[in-house]
Amino acid sequence: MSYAETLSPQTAFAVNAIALNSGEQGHFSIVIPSDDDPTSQIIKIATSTWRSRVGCEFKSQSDKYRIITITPEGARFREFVSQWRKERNSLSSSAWDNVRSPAYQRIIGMGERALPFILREMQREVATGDPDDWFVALWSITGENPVPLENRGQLKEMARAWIDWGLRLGYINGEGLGAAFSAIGYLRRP
Amino acid sequence: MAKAWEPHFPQLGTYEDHSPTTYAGGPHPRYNCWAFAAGESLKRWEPDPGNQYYWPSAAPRDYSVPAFMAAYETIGYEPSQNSTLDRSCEKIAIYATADGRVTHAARQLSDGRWISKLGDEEDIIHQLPESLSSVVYGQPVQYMKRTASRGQALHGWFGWGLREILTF
Repeated sequence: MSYAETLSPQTAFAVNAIALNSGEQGHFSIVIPSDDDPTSQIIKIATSTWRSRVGCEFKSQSDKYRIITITPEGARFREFVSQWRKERNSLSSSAWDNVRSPAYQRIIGMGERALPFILREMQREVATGDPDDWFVALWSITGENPVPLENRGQLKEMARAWIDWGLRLGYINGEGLGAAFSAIGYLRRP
Repeated sequence: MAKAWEPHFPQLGTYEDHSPTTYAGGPHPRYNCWAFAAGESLKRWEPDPGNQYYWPSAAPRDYSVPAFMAAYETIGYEPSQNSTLDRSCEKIAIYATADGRVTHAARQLSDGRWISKLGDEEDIIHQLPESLSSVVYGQPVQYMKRTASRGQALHGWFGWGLREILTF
């Protein structure tokens, strides 16, 4: 998705919500007024929120306006996944080696907000074959281990245990559409 | 055509691709090299601290050579002095880097060659344990053996043809 608009405070919050909920869409850009505009303070608050939750890059600026490129969390997650799959050691049999990958660490660094994306990716992979090595990330983020003893090492069964865990806690829903809603839920949780 | 991973193993020499399927670009296969060496093809062996993967409960959950020896001891292996073919035994080799971290395991076939699963890449049959000595895997640092199963022993003595007949 790519669009530009001049922000009013209301728009700023609307775009903020869009940024959080645009899931796995790609980058988009917005144009904001210069610092002396009355709305700039509110916009700064909004962009501060974006900075903590999405990639936010100032592409250019002039006396009149700035252009900010926003990368929604879903798109950031996709970028990290793509990078991880390129940089991981394909000769290693150790799932724990993933921890050494900077991109995998960045996924872990997304914390709880990465869970809906990981779990949805897992749902997709289980539907088409065997799941990838998400288990270290899930454990690192949550400290949980929902995998029954008898299923450890069996990737599909492990993934199903984590998906059930995600459904139970509301990180995903049965239709695989829970990521956006969970992102909102995350904001609401203390 | 040479595989992209081949330059990582300067001592590889001739090898045979033994992959059941090609995994390139796809999700990981169900087993890994440590499970493969143990004869397990349905689940992954991994002593991860998060306790997510299968690891024999009697073995320490870390990546040290003693921990892997303890894991393989749970399925009947005991330390062996060498990698020499002994048709009454099945042998495995445990690889580790200089810091003592286990990286790989290979299993000896009844014809004396060795079979390895190379991470996400192919399963290959290589001539010697040292064929995979490298920066990536380090060296074979420990051999283990167990009494060969009847099928394995028959295969060792009489070759594939007779074994297949007996199996059926």
